[in-house]
Amino acid sequence: MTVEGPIASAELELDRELLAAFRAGERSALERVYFAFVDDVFRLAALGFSTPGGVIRPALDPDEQRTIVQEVFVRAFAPKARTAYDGLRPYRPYLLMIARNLMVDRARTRGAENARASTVEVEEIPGAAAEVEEAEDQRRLREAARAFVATLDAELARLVELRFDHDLSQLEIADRMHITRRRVRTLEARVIEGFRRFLDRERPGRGRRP
Amino acid sequence: MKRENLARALARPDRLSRLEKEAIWQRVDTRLTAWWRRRVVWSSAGALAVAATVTIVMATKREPKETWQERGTSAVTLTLRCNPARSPGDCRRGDRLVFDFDAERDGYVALFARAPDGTVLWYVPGDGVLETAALLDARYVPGRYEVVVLLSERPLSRGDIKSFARDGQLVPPHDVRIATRVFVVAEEGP
Repeated sequence: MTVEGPIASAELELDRELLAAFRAGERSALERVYFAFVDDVFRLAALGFSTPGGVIRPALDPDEQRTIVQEVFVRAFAPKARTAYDGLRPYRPYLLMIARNLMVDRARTRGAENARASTVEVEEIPGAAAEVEEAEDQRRLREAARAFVATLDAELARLVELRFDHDLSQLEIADRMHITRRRVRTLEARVIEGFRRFLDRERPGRGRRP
Repeated sequence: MKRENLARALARPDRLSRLEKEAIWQRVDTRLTAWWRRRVVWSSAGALAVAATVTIVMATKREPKETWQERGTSAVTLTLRCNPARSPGDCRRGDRLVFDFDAERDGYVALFARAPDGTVLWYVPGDGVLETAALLDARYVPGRYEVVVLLSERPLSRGDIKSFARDGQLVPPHDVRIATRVFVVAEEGP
């Protein structure tokens, strides 16, 4: 079975073909669901939430945020979790329930006193307008990124706009810029490496961490 | 600093960068499709002889030198495509299956497939290979094939790869990157 459709949309409760492919574990269906909901899972990880038993603090470290997102989808896409989804209710709350359970488990493992909740009935989930808190070094890094982007030529600046602002895939960017995917990869590598060098220049003595 | 952290800083606030999302998806996908978690039955010499007759077309282009490299964070990706009009991995007998391989650093590539009957078809023990293709001739019985690509800093022999098998699982050293994909061969048709 081949699942086609916009990657930003994955209404499993409405699309029976997609639901069947998802339950069967077909990669294209899983990928579509992942990209449709990854932002929601990230926001939950980065904002935290409250339960009757306490508050699950947000993950501020980017590595931890990525790990949580990864583990949520590994858990949600496991055969048992896929088949347990009934396909009648919207998938997003089901996925976020898995995310909340995982975050509570992690908090318990860490021995956090605020994770004493025996259930994970959520009392409050941050609204869409809530801003993700960033650590101070991340804020400085973002400021440096703005300064770095201002130094780029038109082609690299366009790549940054499409890749990092518009959130497009390399294939989509290749189509928009009328260049090959390999060229997109090369430009992206130049941007990342250029940013690294920019940081090294701007902060002499800081050194290059492994 | 990690590539993904640099990408985060370049992206809009309050969300993962696309680069991070793709990297996370690759890791999720790899864990979900790790067929070596099931019992691996390595092929007989006869099966390898069949594999040797597969037509292989190789290009030896390498990543440009300006490509950023960092040990330990590189990912390897593989897309299987028989016909641009069809989804990746959707193949018919008679198709030319293209392996669209990509990695964030240069290295040596090993590429093989597990046929529906469990035998292993070896494609490439080569280096710097970015594209290969195989003609899906009559020897490819209809069914589901799982392709594994390994990227390493030294050439891997078939014996090396077999030695990674532990209790039915393929467990390569941490410096060997691995990705798996599936293609399905159907009878000849549109």
